[in-house]
Amino acid sequence: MAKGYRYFEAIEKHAGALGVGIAIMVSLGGLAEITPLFMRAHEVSAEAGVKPYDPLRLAGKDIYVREGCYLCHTQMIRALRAETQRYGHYSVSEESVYDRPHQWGSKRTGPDLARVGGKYSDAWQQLHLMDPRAVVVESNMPGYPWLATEAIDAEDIKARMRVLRTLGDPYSESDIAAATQAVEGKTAMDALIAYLQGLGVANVAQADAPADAPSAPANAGAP
Amino acid sequence: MSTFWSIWIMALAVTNMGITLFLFLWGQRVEIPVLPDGTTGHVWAHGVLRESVRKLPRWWVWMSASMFAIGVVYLALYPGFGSHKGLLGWTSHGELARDVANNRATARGFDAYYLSVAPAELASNPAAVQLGERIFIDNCAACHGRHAQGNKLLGAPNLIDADWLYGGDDATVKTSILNGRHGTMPPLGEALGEAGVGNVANYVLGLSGAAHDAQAAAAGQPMFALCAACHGPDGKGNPALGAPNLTDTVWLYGGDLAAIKQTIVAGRSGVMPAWQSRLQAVDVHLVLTWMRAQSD
Amino acid sequence: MPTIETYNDHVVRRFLLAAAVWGIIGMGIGVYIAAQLAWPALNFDIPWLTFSRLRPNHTFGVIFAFGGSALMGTCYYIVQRTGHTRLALPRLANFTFWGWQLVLVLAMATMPFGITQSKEYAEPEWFIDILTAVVWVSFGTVFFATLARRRIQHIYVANWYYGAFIIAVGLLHIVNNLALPVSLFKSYPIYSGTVDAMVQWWYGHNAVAFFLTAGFLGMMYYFVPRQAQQPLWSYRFSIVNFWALISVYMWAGSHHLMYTALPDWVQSVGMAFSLVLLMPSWGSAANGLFTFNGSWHRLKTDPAAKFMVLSLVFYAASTFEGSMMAIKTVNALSHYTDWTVAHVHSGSIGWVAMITIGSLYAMAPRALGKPEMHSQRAMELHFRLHTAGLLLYIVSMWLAGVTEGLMWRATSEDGSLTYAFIDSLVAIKPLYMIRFFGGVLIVFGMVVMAWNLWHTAADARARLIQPIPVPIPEPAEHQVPAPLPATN
Repeated sequence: MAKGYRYFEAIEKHAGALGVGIAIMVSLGGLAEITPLFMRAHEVSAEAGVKPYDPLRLAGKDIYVREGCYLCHTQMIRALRAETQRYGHYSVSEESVYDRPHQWGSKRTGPDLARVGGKYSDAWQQLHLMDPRAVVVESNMPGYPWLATEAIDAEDIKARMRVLRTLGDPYSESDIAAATQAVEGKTAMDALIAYLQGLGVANVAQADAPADAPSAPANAGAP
Repeated sequence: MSTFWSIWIMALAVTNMGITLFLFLWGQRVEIPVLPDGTTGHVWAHGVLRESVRKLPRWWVWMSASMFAIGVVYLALYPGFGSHKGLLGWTSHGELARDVANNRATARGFDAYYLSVAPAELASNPAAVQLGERIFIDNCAACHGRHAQGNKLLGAPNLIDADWLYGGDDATVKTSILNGRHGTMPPLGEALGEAGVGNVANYVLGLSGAAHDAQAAAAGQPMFALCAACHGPDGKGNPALGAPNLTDTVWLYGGDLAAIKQTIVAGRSGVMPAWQSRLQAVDVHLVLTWMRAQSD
Repeated sequence: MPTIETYNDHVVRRFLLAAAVWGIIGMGIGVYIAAQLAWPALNFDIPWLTFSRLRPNHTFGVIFAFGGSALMGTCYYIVQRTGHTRLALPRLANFTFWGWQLVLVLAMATMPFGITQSKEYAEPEWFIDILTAVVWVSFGTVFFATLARRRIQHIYVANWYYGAFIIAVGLLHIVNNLALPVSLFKSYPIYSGTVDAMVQWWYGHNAVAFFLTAGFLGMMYYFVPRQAQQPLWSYRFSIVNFWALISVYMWAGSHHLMYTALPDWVQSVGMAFSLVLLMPSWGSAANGLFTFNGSWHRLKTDPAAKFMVLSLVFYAASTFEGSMMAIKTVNALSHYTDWTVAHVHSGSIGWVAMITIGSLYAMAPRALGKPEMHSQRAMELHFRLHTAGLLLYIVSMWLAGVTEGLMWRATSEDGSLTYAFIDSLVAIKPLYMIRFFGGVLIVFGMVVMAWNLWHTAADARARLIQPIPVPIPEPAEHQVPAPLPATN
């Protein structure tokens, strides 16, 4: 045990050996934690009846990404009692299988949004996005009034759906063709509201569990 | 988790922990050639950089050894080492279920008591009112305002006055909360024409005794028949439909001429979401208690 | 034997300048968006001035623009001095400077317009990612090629860390950013949902580990002994800490996802390794701090040394805090709150910025052909501003984070939650204002540093600098070192 410095010294005297040693040592953690998840990702599929984002909600999701909403809002209700009591059933893997990238977030300057769908009316969402302090006086959220005048480009959405299909999301040719009509005359505001109103509703197959209910979706939190 | 992936994870974890532990033990003992001045004799940067070969500090050795021990014990007790479930049988969902059950057990007695007392009476119980306020702020205040004063931009009604669109008894208010409401006023701008809208608006102003153009109101009166279907021939509203009373001074969307004209021309659509998936019976009861306490 | 080979400090000086400028920009944006959290009207309803569009500019600006420029500059400086050799591949080295600056400008110019992948600390879109990878591989090539032509057989520990920093960041960057483009400005990652979250935090945590820790430890291992004018405290310590740190860190990313939909086993294994991580973290901090043994009196007169010592104290403090926050029960309270913000800033303003500032003050006069910095008093002022700002920042955010964590879970005796969400925001708003004020002090300190560097660079600007010759031949093994201090 006390010997062997010579061997270590050899690494330290050869830049190539040092580089290879480093490359091996930094790879172990990722191989252990990511590969098993990645290899079995296809097993975590959406629950029956849950479809990938429809064109308008897809546009809305990409606006959520573009505006950086994930920097202040999480979409991940943790399996903690105080959290399920406030926000509803904890989030499960199956709900975010169509999120590229995930929008779990890391900071709650504002409340969690994983189950915000249907909590407020469309009119409220619109007013709140235009001027948050018109409805919540204490809020420190910025307004996003520019969304109301920005049109959604159907061709762009179709291109996005095709790329998502290549990545494995089950869009049919008719789903993609329907995008033209789905986003016609819609603004970025409409799209974002449609996305928000689907959170916790459209990505969950069964009806919402009552707040703070301990029962989980059957295959929650695999494996 | 398949056996293959379990072994994969175990092997990598053992390899990495093993290398680290080996370094920790070996690094303390390995013989490194040392010069009389205590350095290795390796020299860099024009002789400025040298390195000593000192023993590792005792506090650090103990701290590190305990971290290894804690890490290994943790992986023995909790799930993490491949498919090993952990000796404690702990899961995050199991912990949640226990916490929720304990919380429910505490809550049950209180819930039963709260539900047994009518909101108007419970409103004198400060603890219950405070609970109701918390639920109100987290859920209702966004539309109805922090003090339940309502929001004319949304047509969200004031909840602490005596005026109720669908009826203000406990059962009806609870129904409104649990099932939601959708108050729709159709757009009548085309049907009435520009002059007609102005006339009807003046007539409506007159119903509530506000200042108005009497001539226009007289011209508007016959056209009010269109409105009477919902608001009633006398304009007193219809709680069954949630059609507001037009003869009082309470206005959902504003009661000046311009606002009334806007309401008639474009119509209104006021949505109260249904809360039954988010709020439990006792939550609704407590919210109502808080509202009752505010209106006293 | 006379020598004609000289050190290539040209590219080092450029990176030094870039670091000073980006530091002010990155931290200035941070202060602006911090002000928006306290006074939300300050975005003036302009999209590209809005908090959510600009926060990536702050993180990218300080990590990759300020930190990255400082790391690449010091790396080139150190690898030459510790190898007694001129930088290899000078044109490629120049390319790494301009290429990296192009990456930074493109990223900073696109993100405010919503061109983002929304992966934290990896926001720039795919075309910038590809350019980043090209520059990074070039950087690694220059570094390892210079190592290969070194004249001193032993590779100094600072270079181990720079090597690990380059290899690991390259690996992380490429794996995390694999995506399929839709158009020039939009792509979708090949991962989704839970897998994406794991890849993202494997990346995100190790951006901290290898960009903000390993790279800066390389800086520390050169400049601390240099400034303390003592031999490095212990070579044994270097060996154990290095290999443990680079491997164990890679497991810790999953502690960012405690109690989430990530499977329990990944969370637990991340937590176990996060605890073991305390060993190399405190080992490295101790190795640096103890190097000052026998030189503590220098702190009275040397602001650069003060920055270094305090940075190591904060390194120890924030790595301890990090390991504690990786414990499930602590994380349940701290996660999603401003405690995380306090933690990263005690690491970044305390450790990263202070070791960088200390190292820049140590390196700049040498790279700029001056005996010392232009103004000693300005350095003292900077130290005071920076320390005061740092303390205001982290204390206010700790308080805010613990307040949020406690209010979110507070439960009344009848089992219901005590506070509404908005109550927690109202409670911490005054702390947001204090944090903003702390940030102002820090940025002001950076301006003082830039002023000082500008004047120290007078000769460099007038092109009067004589290149520093490389000592050839290689000093004999076990030679008695030249008397301290040497000027280079």
